[in-house]
Amino acid sequence: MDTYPFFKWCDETSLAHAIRGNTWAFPLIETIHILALTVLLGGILLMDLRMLGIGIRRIPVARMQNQLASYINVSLVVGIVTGFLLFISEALKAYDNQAFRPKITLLAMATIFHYTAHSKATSSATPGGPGWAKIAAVVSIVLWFGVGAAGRAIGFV
Amino acid sequence: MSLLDICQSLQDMGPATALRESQFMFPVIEGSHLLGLALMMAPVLMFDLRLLGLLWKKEPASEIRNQFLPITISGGVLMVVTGTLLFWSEAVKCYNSTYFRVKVIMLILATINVIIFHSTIDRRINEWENDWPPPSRAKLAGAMSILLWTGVIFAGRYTAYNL
Repeated sequence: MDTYPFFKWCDETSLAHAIRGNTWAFPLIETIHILALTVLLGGILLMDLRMLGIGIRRIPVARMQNQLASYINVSLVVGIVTGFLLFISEALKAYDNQAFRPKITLLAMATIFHYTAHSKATSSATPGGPGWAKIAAVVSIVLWFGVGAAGRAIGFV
Repeated sequence: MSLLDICQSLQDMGPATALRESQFMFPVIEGSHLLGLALMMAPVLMFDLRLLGLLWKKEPASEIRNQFLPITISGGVLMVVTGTLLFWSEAVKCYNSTYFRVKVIMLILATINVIIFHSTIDRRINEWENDWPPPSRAKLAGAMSILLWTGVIFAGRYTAYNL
């Protein structure tokens, strides 16, 4: 399926023009994107460290989920919204960027995993999570750090 | 020898030059500095929100401190090591960057806030950790922490893109 027309269309929207036309827009949106990813990645990392029994050992996994869920959900939404704005303002560059598609693929995988298997593990009644919690934690860390690394790579490739 | 001369000498050293000119190592170090942010700052945010009385309301403050802050220390070590390497490789540009100077000032202020908190109100944490709402000095420490570390992140981002 040829996605080029979609990327071109995005690049030519008035929203894209508006962001490109304002010197402060892109840096500000990007800084918010980075703050969102810090909260998102950080929150998920804390849950995963707990599931691995590293550092946090006394707070039950379900309690962590309960306290962190809103922060993770909101920062994910903010990250996606700001990410989308960053994308449309440079959609044609993104089309040619080797790290962009891997990032989106990893983001989709990480998000789906987070709200399915990972969520099942963190709602466990067992304080440390189910037996397979450690596996879920490692998968989660690998996927989300993959998103982060691919995202950073966008600037380098 | 001026500070600028010192920065020039630092970045002329072998390892600094190698890092600056590397294809792979520099992105890895810089990427680790960014991703290490999450490791360092998430536990801090959790503890600050507890100090503000917004989260972890069932747990005594010392429990949140003891469970989360050791992770911050590991993250902090990663940030200091990667940050030092990054500075070393680009010392002159950092010296000349207003954004970087602001970042250094924010880092110093954030560290002072940490020192003040841990040497005063934190010493007496067992006296107030179950109080609701938390004492105003605890709330102030939490609020200042969030503000100052956010300032460091903002200044850091602007430094990176203007170096």
